[in-house]
Amino acid sequence: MKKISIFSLLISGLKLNFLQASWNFERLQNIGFLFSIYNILKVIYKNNIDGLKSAIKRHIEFFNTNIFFSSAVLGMISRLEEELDDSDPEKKNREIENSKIGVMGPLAAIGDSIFWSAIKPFALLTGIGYTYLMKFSFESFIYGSLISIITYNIPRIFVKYYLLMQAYYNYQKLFTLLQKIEFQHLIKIIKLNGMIFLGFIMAGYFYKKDLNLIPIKLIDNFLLIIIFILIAMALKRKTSISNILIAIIILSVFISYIIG
Amino acid sequence: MEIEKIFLLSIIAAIIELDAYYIGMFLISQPIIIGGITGYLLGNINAGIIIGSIVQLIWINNPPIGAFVPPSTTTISFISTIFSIVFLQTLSNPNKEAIFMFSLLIGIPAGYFVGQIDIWHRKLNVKIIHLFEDKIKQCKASYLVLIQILSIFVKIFSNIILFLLIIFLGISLAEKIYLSLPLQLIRALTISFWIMPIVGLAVIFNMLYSKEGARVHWVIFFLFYIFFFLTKGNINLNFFIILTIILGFVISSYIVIKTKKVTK
Repeated sequence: MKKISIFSLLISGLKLNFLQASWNFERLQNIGFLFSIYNILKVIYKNNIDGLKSAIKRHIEFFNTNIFFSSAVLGMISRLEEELDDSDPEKKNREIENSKIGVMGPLAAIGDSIFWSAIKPFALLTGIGYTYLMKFSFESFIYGSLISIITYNIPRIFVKYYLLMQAYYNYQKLFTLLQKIEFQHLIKIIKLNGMIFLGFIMAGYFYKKDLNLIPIKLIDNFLLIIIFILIAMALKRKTSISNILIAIIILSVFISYIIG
Repeated sequence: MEIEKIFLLSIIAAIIELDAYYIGMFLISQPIIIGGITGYLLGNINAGIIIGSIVQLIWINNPPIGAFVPPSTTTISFISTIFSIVFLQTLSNPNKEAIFMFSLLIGIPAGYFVGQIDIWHRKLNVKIIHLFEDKIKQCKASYLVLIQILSIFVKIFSNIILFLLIIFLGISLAEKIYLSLPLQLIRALTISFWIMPIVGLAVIFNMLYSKEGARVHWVIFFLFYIFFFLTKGNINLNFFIILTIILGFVISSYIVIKTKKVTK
Protein backbone atom coordinates (compact mmCIF):
# COMPACT_ATOMS: atom_id res chain seq x y z
CA MET A 1 0.00 0.00 0.00
CA LYS A 2 1.47 3.32 -1.11
CA LYS A 3 1.63 6.09 1.46
CA ILE A 4 3.54 8.69 -0.53
CA SER A 5 1.60 10.94 -2.87
CA ILE A 6 2.94 12.54 -6.06
CA PHE A 7 2.59 15.86 -4.28
CA SER A 8 5.01 14.76 -1.51
CA LEU A 9 7.46 13.54 -4.15
CA LEU A 10 7.28 16.86 -5.99
CA ILE A 11 7.82 18.80 -2.77
CA SER A 12 10.91 16.70 -2.09
CA GLY A 13 12.06 17.31 -5.66
CA LEU A 14 11.75 21.05 -5.13
CA LYS A 15 13.63 20.80 -1.84
CA LEU A 16 16.48 19.13 -3.73
CA ASN A 17 17.30 22.61 -5.04
CA PHE A 18 18.82 23.13 -1.58
CA LEU A 19 20.87 19.90 -1.72
CA GLN A 20 24.17 21.77 -1.58
CA ALA A 21 23.12 24.65 0.69
CA SER A 22 25.02 23.24 3.68
CA TRP A 23 27.67 21.26 1.78
CA ASN A 24 30.45 20.22 4.14
CA PHE A 25 33.82 18.51 3.84
CA GLU A 26 32.88 15.67 6.20
CA ARG A 27 29.70 14.13 4.75
CA LEU A 28 29.23 16.42 1.72
CA GLN A 29 25.50 16.73 0.78
CA ASN A 30 24.09 14.75 3.75
CA ILE A 31 22.08 17.58 5.32
CA GLY A 32 20.68 18.64 1.94
CA PHE A 33 19.52 15.08 1.21
CA LEU A 34 17.99 14.56 4.64
CA PHE A 35 16.29 17.96 4.36
CA SER A 36 14.78 16.90 1.00
CA ILE A 37 13.59 13.45 2.03
CA TYR A 38 12.38 14.39 5.52
CA ASN A 39 8.75 15.11 4.56
CA ILE A 40 8.55 11.66 2.91
CA LEU A 41 10.08 9.94 5.95
CA LYS A 42 7.53 11.66 8.15
CA VAL A 43 4.67 10.23 6.08
CA ILE A 44 6.16 6.71 6.01
CA TYR A 45 6.95 6.60 9.75
CA LYS A 46 3.86 8.50 10.87
CA ASN A 47 3.16 6.13 13.77
CA ASN A 48 6.64 4.75 14.25
CA ILE A 49 8.99 7.18 15.99
CA ASP A 50 11.78 4.61 16.35
CA GLY A 51 11.58 3.89 12.62
CA LEU A 52 11.85 7.62 11.90
CA LYS A 53 14.86 7.94 14.21
CA SER A 54 16.72 5.10 12.52
CA ALA A 55 15.82 6.51 9.07
CA ILE A 56 17.28 9.89 10.11
CA LYS A 57 20.44 8.16 11.33
CA ARG A 58 20.74 6.41 7.94
CA HIS A 59 20.37 9.56 5.91
CA ILE A 60 22.53 11.86 7.99
CA GLU A 61 25.52 9.84 6.80
CA PHE A 62 27.70 10.55 3.74
CA PHE A 63 25.89 11.55 0.57
CA ASN A 64 27.29 12.84 -2.70
CA THR A 65 25.98 12.73 -6.25
CA ASN A 66 25.16 15.03 -9.15
CA ILE A 67 22.59 17.61 -8.03
CA PHE A 68 20.22 16.97 -10.97
CA PHE A 69 20.48 13.18 -10.87
CA SER A 70 20.03 13.16 -7.08
CA SER A 71 16.28 12.98 -7.70
CA ALA A 72 16.75 9.37 -8.89
CA VAL A 73 18.37 8.46 -5.55
CA LEU A 74 15.59 10.25 -3.70
CA GLY A 75 12.85 8.45 -5.64
CA MET A 76 14.47 5.05 -5.21
CA ILE A 77 15.26 5.45 -1.51
CA SER A 78 11.72 6.72 -0.82
CA ARG A 79 10.32 3.58 -2.40
CA LEU A 80 12.68 1.33 -0.44
CA GLU A 81 11.89 3.12 2.83
CA GLU A 82 8.22 2.54 2.11
CA GLU A 83 8.43 -1.06 0.89
CA LEU A 84 11.01 -2.76 3.09
CA ASP A 85 9.73 -4.45 6.19
CA ASP A 86 10.30 -2.74 9.55
CA SER A 87 10.43 -6.01 11.47
CA ASP A 88 14.19 -6.35 10.92
CA PRO A 89 15.65 -2.80 11.24
CA GLU A 90 19.24 -4.02 10.79
CA LYS A 91 18.42 -5.65 7.46
CA LYS A 92 16.43 -2.62 6.30
CA ASN A 93 19.26 -0.32 7.27
CA ARG A 94 21.81 -2.45 5.41
CA GLU A 95 19.72 -2.75 2.25
CA ILE A 96 18.95 0.95 2.01
CA GLU A 97 22.57 1.94 2.75
CA ASN A 98 23.89 -0.46 0.10
CA SER A 99 21.37 0.72 -2.51
CA LYS A 100 22.18 4.36 -1.81
CA ILE A 101 25.93 3.84 -2.07
CA GLY A 102 25.44 1.68 -5.16
CA VAL A 103 23.55 4.32 -7.17
CA MET A 104 25.24 7.53 -5.98
CA GLY A 105 28.52 6.95 -7.83
CA PRO A 106 27.21 5.95 -11.29
CA LEU A 107 24.59 8.71 -11.23
CA ALA A 108 27.22 11.30 -10.28
CA ALA A 109 29.44 10.16 -13.15
CA ILE A 110 26.61 10.27 -15.73
CA GLY A 111 25.19 13.55 -14.42
CA ASP A 112 28.51 15.35 -14.20
CA SER A 113 29.61 14.33 -17.67
CA ILE A 114 26.31 15.14 -19.37
CA PHE A 115 25.61 18.43 -17.58
CA TRP A 116 29.04 19.92 -16.83
CA SER A 117 30.89 18.87 -19.95
CA ALA A 118 28.12 18.97 -22.55
CA ILE A 119 24.79 20.71 -21.81
CA LYS A 120 26.09 23.62 -19.72
CA PRO A 121 28.95 24.64 -22.07
CA PHE A 122 26.66 24.23 -25.10
CA ALA A 123 23.90 26.35 -23.52
CA LEU A 124 26.35 29.06 -22.52
CA LEU A 125 28.09 28.96 -25.89
CA THR A 126 24.83 29.56 -27.77
CA GLY A 127 23.95 32.51 -25.52
CA ILE A 128 27.40 34.10 -25.55
CA GLY A 129 27.81 33.37 -29.25
CA TYR A 130 24.64 35.31 -29.95
CA THR A 131 25.88 38.21 -27.80
CA TYR A 132 29.29 38.18 -29.56
CA LEU A 133 27.73 38.15 -33.03
CA MET A 134 25.35 40.98 -32.17
CA LYS A 135 28.30 43.05 -30.93
CA PHE A 136 27.38 43.09 -27.22
CA SER A 137 24.15 45.10 -27.65
CA PHE A 138 21.43 45.29 -24.97
CA GLU A 139 19.02 43.14 -27.02
CA SER A 140 21.72 40.55 -27.62
CA PHE A 141 22.29 40.36 -23.85
CA ILE A 142 18.60 39.76 -23.13
CA TYR A 143 18.12 37.20 -25.92
CA GLY A 144 21.52 35.57 -25.34
CA SER A 145 20.83 35.12 -21.61
CA LEU A 146 17.35 33.75 -22.31
CA ILE A 147 18.74 31.29 -24.89
CA SER A 148 21.34 30.02 -22.38
CA ILE A 149 18.89 29.73 -19.49
CA ILE A 150 16.20 27.96 -21.55
CA THR A 151 18.65 25.60 -23.33
CA TYR A 152 20.10 24.56 -19.97
CA ASN A 153 16.98 24.46 -17.79
CA ILE A 154 14.66 22.44 -20.05
CA PRO A 155 16.82 19.26 -19.92
CA ARG A 156 17.66 19.99 -16.27
CA ILE A 157 14.01 20.10 -15.16
CA PHE A 158 13.03 17.19 -17.41
CA VAL A 159 15.86 14.92 -16.20
CA LYS A 160 15.27 15.80 -12.57
CA TYR A 161 11.53 15.15 -12.38
CA TYR A 162 11.45 12.31 -14.91
CA LEU A 163 14.10 10.43 -12.94
CA LEU A 164 12.33 11.19 -9.67
CA MET A 165 9.10 9.62 -10.90
CA GLN A 166 10.77 6.72 -12.70
CA ALA A 167 12.98 5.94 -9.70
CA TYR A 168 9.96 5.86 -7.39
CA TYR A 169 7.49 3.98 -9.58
CA ASN A 170 9.92 1.74 -11.55
CA TYR A 171 12.97 1.66 -9.31
CA GLN A 172 13.91 -1.89 -10.28
CA LYS A 173 14.14 -0.83 -13.93
CA LEU A 174 16.05 2.38 -13.24
CA PHE A 175 19.42 1.17 -14.48
CA THR A 176 17.91 -0.56 -17.51
CA LEU A 177 16.32 2.76 -18.37
CA LEU A 178 19.59 4.64 -17.91
CA GLN A 179 21.41 2.09 -20.07
CA LYS A 180 18.84 2.55 -22.84
CA ILE A 181 19.60 6.26 -23.07
CA GLU A 182 22.97 6.24 -24.80
CA PHE A 183 24.58 9.04 -22.83
CA GLN A 184 27.96 8.69 -24.55
CA HIS A 185 26.38 9.29 -27.95
CA LEU A 186 24.23 12.10 -26.63
CA ILE A 187 27.29 13.85 -25.16
CA LYS A 188 29.16 13.35 -28.43
CA ILE A 189 26.30 14.88 -30.46
CA ILE A 190 26.08 17.92 -28.15
CA LYS A 191 29.86 18.42 -28.18
CA LEU A 192 30.10 18.09 -31.98
CA ASN A 193 27.25 20.53 -32.41
CA GLY A 194 29.03 22.89 -30.00
CA MET A 195 32.17 22.68 -32.14
CA ILE A 196 30.20 23.49 -35.30
CA PHE A 197 28.52 26.45 -33.64
CA LEU A 198 31.88 27.60 -32.26
CA GLY A 199 33.25 27.65 -35.84
CA PHE A 200 30.34 29.88 -36.89
CA ILE A 201 30.75 32.20 -33.89
CA MET A 202 34.49 32.54 -34.48
CA ALA A 203 33.97 33.39 -38.16
CA GLY A 204 31.36 36.01 -37.25
CA TYR A 205 33.42 37.42 -34.37
CA PHE A 206 36.62 37.69 -36.43
CA TYR A 207 34.79 39.40 -39.27
CA LYS A 208 32.73 41.80 -37.17
CA LYS A 209 35.04 42.73 -34.28
CA ASP A 210 36.02 46.37 -33.74
CA LEU A 211 39.08 45.80 -31.60
CA ASN A 212 41.98 45.39 -33.99
CA LEU A 213 45.59 45.70 -32.88
CA ILE A 214 46.90 45.80 -36.45
CA PRO A 215 45.00 48.10 -38.84
CA ILE A 216 44.92 45.50 -41.66
CA LYS A 217 42.07 43.25 -40.51
CA LEU A 218 43.18 40.14 -42.36
CA ILE A 219 46.66 40.20 -40.73
CA ASP A 220 45.07 40.99 -37.34
CA ASN A 221 42.76 37.99 -37.70
CA PHE A 222 45.58 35.73 -38.91
CA LEU A 223 47.62 36.63 -35.84
CA LEU A 224 44.67 35.91 -33.56
CA ILE A 225 44.13 32.49 -35.17
CA ILE A 226 47.77 31.61 -34.45
CA ILE A 227 47.33 32.76 -30.83
CA PHE A 228 44.10 30.72 -30.63
CA ILE A 229 45.90 27.56 -31.81
CA LEU A 230 48.79 28.13 -29.38
CA ILE A 231 46.41 28.61 -26.42
CA ALA A 232 44.35 25.54 -27.44
CA MET A 233 47.57 23.49 -27.61
CA ALA A 234 48.68 24.75 -24.19
CA LEU A 235 45.28 23.88 -22.71
CA LYS A 236 45.45 20.41 -24.24
CA ARG A 237 48.73 19.90 -22.38
CA LYS A 238 46.86 20.69 -19.14
CA THR A 239 48.35 24.16 -18.68
CA SER A 240 46.18 26.00 -16.16
CA ILE A 241 44.21 29.04 -17.26
CA SER A 242 45.91 31.25 -14.64
CA ASN A 243 49.34 30.33 -16.06
CA ILE A 244 48.13 31.20 -19.57
CA LEU A 245 46.80 34.57 -18.39
CA ILE A 246 50.09 35.36 -16.62
CA ALA A 247 52.05 34.41 -19.77
CA ILE A 248 49.82 36.67 -21.91
CA ILE A 249 50.34 39.64 -19.61
CA ILE A 250 54.13 39.14 -19.45
CA LEU A 251 54.37 38.78 -23.24
CA SER A 252 52.16 41.86 -23.74
CA VAL A 253 54.44 43.92 -21.49
CA PHE A 254 57.47 42.61 -23.36
CA ILE A 255 55.95 43.45 -26.79
CA SER A 256 54.80 46.86 -25.58
CA TYR A 257 58.31 47.80 -24.38
CA ILE A 258 59.86 46.54 -27.66
CA ILE A 259 57.44 48.72 -29.68
CA GLY A 260 58.57 51.60 -27.45
CA MET B 1 29.26 56.76 -7.06
CA GLU B 2 26.20 56.60 -4.82
CA ILE B 3 26.73 54.52 -1.68
CA GLU B 4 23.12 53.23 -1.73
CA LYS B 5 23.65 51.85 -5.24
CA ILE B 6 26.83 50.03 -4.16
CA PHE B 7 25.00 48.51 -1.17
CA LEU B 8 22.08 47.45 -3.36
CA LEU B 9 24.38 45.97 -6.01
CA SER B 10 26.43 44.06 -3.42
CA ILE B 11 23.25 42.56 -1.93
CA ILE B 12 21.93 41.60 -5.39
CA ALA B 13 25.30 40.06 -6.40
CA ALA B 14 25.59 38.14 -3.09
CA ILE B 15 22.09 36.70 -3.50
CA ILE B 16 22.61 35.82 -7.17
CA GLU B 17 25.94 34.15 -6.27
CA LEU B 18 23.99 31.55 -4.25
CA ASP B 19 22.83 30.09 -7.57
CA ALA B 20 26.41 29.19 -8.48
CA TYR B 21 26.46 26.31 -6.01
CA TYR B 22 24.24 26.68 -2.97
CA ILE B 23 20.70 26.91 -4.37
CA GLY B 24 19.26 25.45 -7.55
CA MET B 25 22.00 26.10 -10.11
CA PHE B 26 19.56 27.64 -12.58
CA LEU B 27 22.41 29.44 -14.44
CA ILE B 28 21.36 32.95 -13.38
CA SER B 29 24.65 33.42 -11.51
CA GLN B 30 26.65 33.19 -14.74
CA PRO B 31 29.16 36.03 -15.27
CA ILE B 32 27.48 37.37 -18.40
CA ILE B 33 24.18 37.79 -16.52
CA ILE B 34 25.65 39.41 -13.39
CA GLY B 35 27.90 41.58 -15.62
CA GLY B 36 24.89 42.73 -17.65
CA ILE B 37 22.76 43.45 -14.55
CA THR B 38 25.60 45.40 -12.88
CA GLY B 39 26.28 47.33 -16.09
CA TYR B 40 22.58 48.12 -16.51
CA LEU B 41 22.22 49.42 -12.94
CA LEU B 42 25.37 51.54 -13.28
CA GLY B 43 24.36 52.95 -16.66
CA ASN B 44 26.89 51.16 -18.90
CA ILE B 45 25.44 47.80 -19.90
CA ASN B 46 27.89 47.41 -22.78
CA ALA B 47 30.89 47.28 -20.41
CA GLY B 48 29.10 44.72 -18.22
CA ILE B 49 28.26 42.45 -21.16
CA ILE B 50 31.80 42.60 -22.61
CA ILE B 51 33.46 41.76 -19.28
CA GLY B 52 30.80 39.20 -18.35
CA SER B 53 31.08 37.32 -21.64
CA ILE B 54 34.88 37.18 -21.47
CA VAL B 55 34.86 35.92 -17.86
CA GLN B 56 32.16 33.44 -18.81
CA LEU B 57 34.15 31.90 -21.64
CA ILE B 58 37.50 31.80 -19.82
CA TRP B 59 36.11 30.05 -16.73
CA ILE B 60 33.46 27.96 -18.50
CA ASN B 61 35.35 24.75 -17.66
CA ASN B 62 35.05 25.06 -13.90
CA PRO B 63 32.39 22.65 -12.72
CA PRO B 64 32.00 22.24 -8.96
CA ILE B 65 32.47 18.45 -8.96
CA GLY B 66 32.89 16.62 -5.63
CA ALA B 67 35.06 18.54 -3.18
CA PHE B 68 36.57 20.87 -5.81
CA VAL B 69 35.81 24.52 -5.11
CA PRO B 70 36.26 26.68 -8.22
CA PRO B 71 36.90 30.44 -8.11
CA SER B 72 33.74 32.54 -8.04
CA THR B 73 33.21 33.73 -11.62
CA THR B 74 30.18 35.75 -10.46
CA THR B 75 32.53 37.76 -8.24
CA ILE B 76 35.14 38.22 -10.99
CA SER B 77 32.49 39.56 -13.35
CA PHE B 78 30.77 41.73 -10.70
CA ILE B 79 33.93 43.37 -9.32
CA SER B 80 35.54 43.85 -12.75
CA THR B 81 32.37 45.47 -14.15
CA ILE B 82 32.04 47.89 -11.22
CA PHE B 83 35.70 48.93 -11.37
CA SER B 84 35.71 49.39 -15.14
CA ILE B 85 32.50 51.47 -15.15
CA VAL B 86 33.77 53.68 -12.30
CA PHE B 87 37.11 54.22 -14.08
CA LEU B 88 35.38 54.98 -17.39
CA GLN B 89 33.25 57.58 -15.59
CA THR B 90 35.95 59.24 -13.51
CA LEU B 91 39.11 59.17 -15.65
CA SER B 92 39.57 61.80 -18.30
CA ASN B 93 40.24 60.41 -21.80
CA PRO B 94 40.19 56.77 -20.70
CA ASN B 95 41.63 53.88 -22.73
CA LYS B 96 38.61 51.55 -22.69
CA GLU B 97 40.44 48.26 -23.40
CA ALA B 98 43.24 48.96 -20.91
CA ILE B 99 40.64 49.77 -18.23
CA PHE B 100 38.72 46.56 -18.94
CA MET B 101 41.90 44.51 -18.61
CA PHE B 102 43.02 46.37 -15.48
CA SER B 103 39.60 45.77 -13.90
CA LEU B 104 39.79 42.07 -14.78
CA LEU B 105 43.14 41.92 -13.00
CA ILE B 106 41.39 43.23 -9.88
CA GLY B 107 38.36 40.96 -10.26
CA ILE B 108 40.31 37.71 -10.76
CA PRO B 109 42.02 37.60 -7.32
CA ALA B 110 38.70 38.66 -5.74
CA GLY B 111 37.02 35.65 -7.39
CA TYR B 112 39.74 33.29 -6.19
CA PHE B 113 39.44 34.75 -2.68
CA VAL B 114 35.67 34.09 -2.64
CA GLY B 115 36.54 30.50 -3.63
CA GLN B 116 38.82 30.33 -0.59
CA ILE B 117 36.06 31.75 1.63
CA ASP B 118 33.80 28.97 0.32
CA ILE B 119 36.35 26.41 1.54
CA TRP B 120 36.35 28.00 5.02
CA HIS B 121 32.56 28.12 4.90
CA ARG B 122 32.36 24.38 4.18
CA LYS B 123 34.68 23.69 7.11
CA LEU B 124 32.43 25.84 9.29
CA ASN B 125 29.42 23.79 8.12
CA VAL B 126 31.05 20.65 9.59
CA LYS B 127 31.16 22.34 13.01
CA ILE B 128 27.59 23.62 12.74
CA ILE B 129 26.33 20.14 11.79
CA HIS B 130 28.15 18.55 14.76
CA LEU B 131 26.55 21.12 17.02
CA PHE B 132 23.00 20.18 16.00
CA GLU B 133 23.38 16.51 15.00
CA ASP B 134 22.01 15.04 18.23
CA LYS B 135 18.94 17.25 18.05
CA ILE B 136 18.28 16.16 14.45
CA LYS B 137 18.62 12.50 15.48
CA GLN B 138 15.91 13.18 18.06
CA CYS B 139 13.57 14.04 15.12
CA LYS B 140 13.74 17.79 15.63
CA ALA B 141 13.46 18.72 11.97
CA SER B 142 13.60 22.46 12.65
CA TYR B 143 17.37 22.07 13.21
CA LEU B 144 17.75 20.77 9.66
CA VAL B 145 16.10 23.94 8.37
CA LEU B 146 18.21 26.00 10.77
CA ILE B 147 21.48 24.52 9.42
CA GLN B 148 20.42 25.24 5.83
CA ILE B 149 19.37 28.82 6.65
CA LEU B 150 22.53 29.47 8.69
CA SER B 151 24.74 28.27 5.86
CA ILE B 152 22.94 30.43 3.28
CA PHE B 153 23.05 33.42 5.62
CA VAL B 154 26.81 33.01 6.23
CA LYS B 155 27.40 32.87 2.46
CA ILE B 156 25.33 35.99 1.71
CA PHE B 157 26.77 37.93 4.65
CA SER B 158 30.42 37.09 3.90
CA ASN B 159 29.93 37.99 0.23
CA ILE B 160 28.30 41.34 0.98
CA ILE B 161 31.07 42.29 3.45
CA LEU B 162 33.80 41.27 0.99
CA PHE B 163 32.20 43.09 -1.96
CA LEU B 164 31.76 46.29 0.05
CA LEU B 165 35.33 46.13 1.36
CA ILE B 166 36.81 45.60 -2.11
CA ILE B 167 34.70 48.35 -3.66
CA PHE B 168 35.09 51.01 -0.96
CA LEU B 169 38.76 50.40 -0.20
CA GLY B 170 39.81 49.33 -3.67
CA ILE B 171 38.42 51.93 -6.05
CA SER B 172 40.48 54.95 -4.97
CA LEU B 173 43.62 52.82 -4.50
CA ALA B 174 43.21 51.13 -7.91
CA GLU B 175 42.58 54.50 -9.56
CA LYS B 176 45.86 55.86 -8.16
CA ILE B 177 47.74 52.74 -9.34
CA TYR B 178 46.21 52.99 -12.82
CA LEU B 179 47.09 56.68 -13.14
CA SER B 180 50.69 55.99 -12.16
CA LEU B 181 51.15 53.30 -14.83
CA PRO B 182 53.62 54.16 -17.64
CA LEU B 183 52.35 54.33 -21.19
CA GLN B 184 53.99 51.00 -22.10
CA LEU B 185 52.04 49.16 -19.40
CA ILE B 186 48.77 50.76 -20.51
CA ARG B 187 49.56 49.54 -24.02
CA ALA B 188 50.41 46.08 -22.64
CA LEU B 189 46.96 45.98 -20.99
CA THR B 190 45.35 46.86 -24.35
CA ILE B 191 47.28 44.06 -26.08
CA SER B 192 46.25 41.59 -23.35
CA PHE B 193 42.60 42.59 -23.69
CA TRP B 194 42.81 42.12 -27.46
CA ILE B 195 43.69 38.45 -26.79
CA MET B 196 41.11 37.80 -24.00
CA PRO B 197 38.11 36.79 -26.19
CA ILE B 198 40.43 34.39 -28.03
CA VAL B 199 41.49 32.81 -24.72
CA GLY B 200 37.80 32.22 -23.97
CA LEU B 201 37.13 30.71 -27.38
CA ALA B 202 40.22 28.46 -27.04
CA VAL B 203 38.99 27.26 -23.62
CA ILE B 204 35.65 26.19 -25.05
CA PHE B 205 37.39 24.63 -28.10
CA ASN B 206 39.52 22.56 -25.74
CA MET B 207 36.49 21.60 -23.68
CA LEU B 208 34.47 20.33 -26.65
CA TYR B 209 37.52 18.87 -28.42
CA SER B 210 37.40 15.65 -30.42
CA LYS B 211 39.23 14.83 -33.65
CA GLU B 212 36.09 14.91 -35.79
CA GLY B 213 34.83 17.97 -33.96
CA ALA B 214 38.05 19.93 -34.59
CA ARG B 215 37.98 19.08 -38.30
CA VAL B 216 34.33 20.12 -38.72
CA HIS B 217 34.98 23.26 -36.65
CA TRP B 218 37.77 24.50 -38.94
CA VAL B 219 35.76 23.73 -42.10
CA ILE B 220 32.75 25.68 -40.77
CA PHE B 221 35.01 28.52 -39.59
CA PHE B 222 36.73 29.02 -42.96
CA LEU B 223 33.52 28.59 -44.98
CA PHE B 224 31.63 31.17 -42.94
CA TYR B 225 34.61 33.55 -42.76
CA ILE B 226 34.77 33.59 -46.59
CA PHE B 227 30.98 33.90 -46.69
CA PHE B 228 31.02 36.90 -44.33
CA PHE B 229 33.83 38.43 -46.39
CA LEU B 230 31.96 38.00 -49.69
CA THR B 231 28.63 39.27 -48.35
CA LYS B 232 30.38 42.05 -46.35
CA GLY B 233 28.47 40.82 -43.29
CA ASN B 234 25.10 41.89 -44.75
CA ILE B 235 23.24 38.73 -43.78
CA ASN B 236 20.33 37.88 -41.50
CA LEU B 237 22.33 36.63 -38.52
CA ASN B 238 19.35 35.20 -36.63
CA PHE B 239 18.51 33.00 -39.62
CA PHE B 240 22.11 31.80 -39.95
CA ILE B 241 22.39 31.05 -36.21
CA ILE B 242 19.31 28.81 -36.35
CA LEU B 243 20.55 27.25 -39.60
CA THR B 244 23.97 26.48 -38.07
CA ILE B 245 22.41 24.83 -35.00
CA ILE B 246 20.11 22.67 -37.18
CA LEU B 247 23.00 21.85 -39.52
CA GLY B 248 25.11 21.09 -36.45
CA PHE B 249 22.64 18.55 -35.12
CA VAL B 250 22.31 16.88 -38.53
CA ILE B 251 26.10 16.63 -39.06
CA SER B 252 26.84 15.52 -35.49
CA SER B 253 24.06 12.91 -35.50
CA TYR B 254 25.36 11.58 -38.83
CA ILE B 255 28.94 11.33 -37.50
CA VAL B 256 27.79 9.60 -34.30
CA ILE B 257 25.57 7.11 -36.18
CA LYS B 258 28.44 6.38 -38.57
CA THR B 259 30.84 5.80 -35.65
CA LYS B 260 28.27 3.50 -34.00
CA LYS B 261 27.99 1.39 -37.17
CA VAL B 262 31.79 1.13 -37.45
CA THR B 263 32.05 0.08 -33.78
CA LYS B 264 29.39 -2.60 -34.25
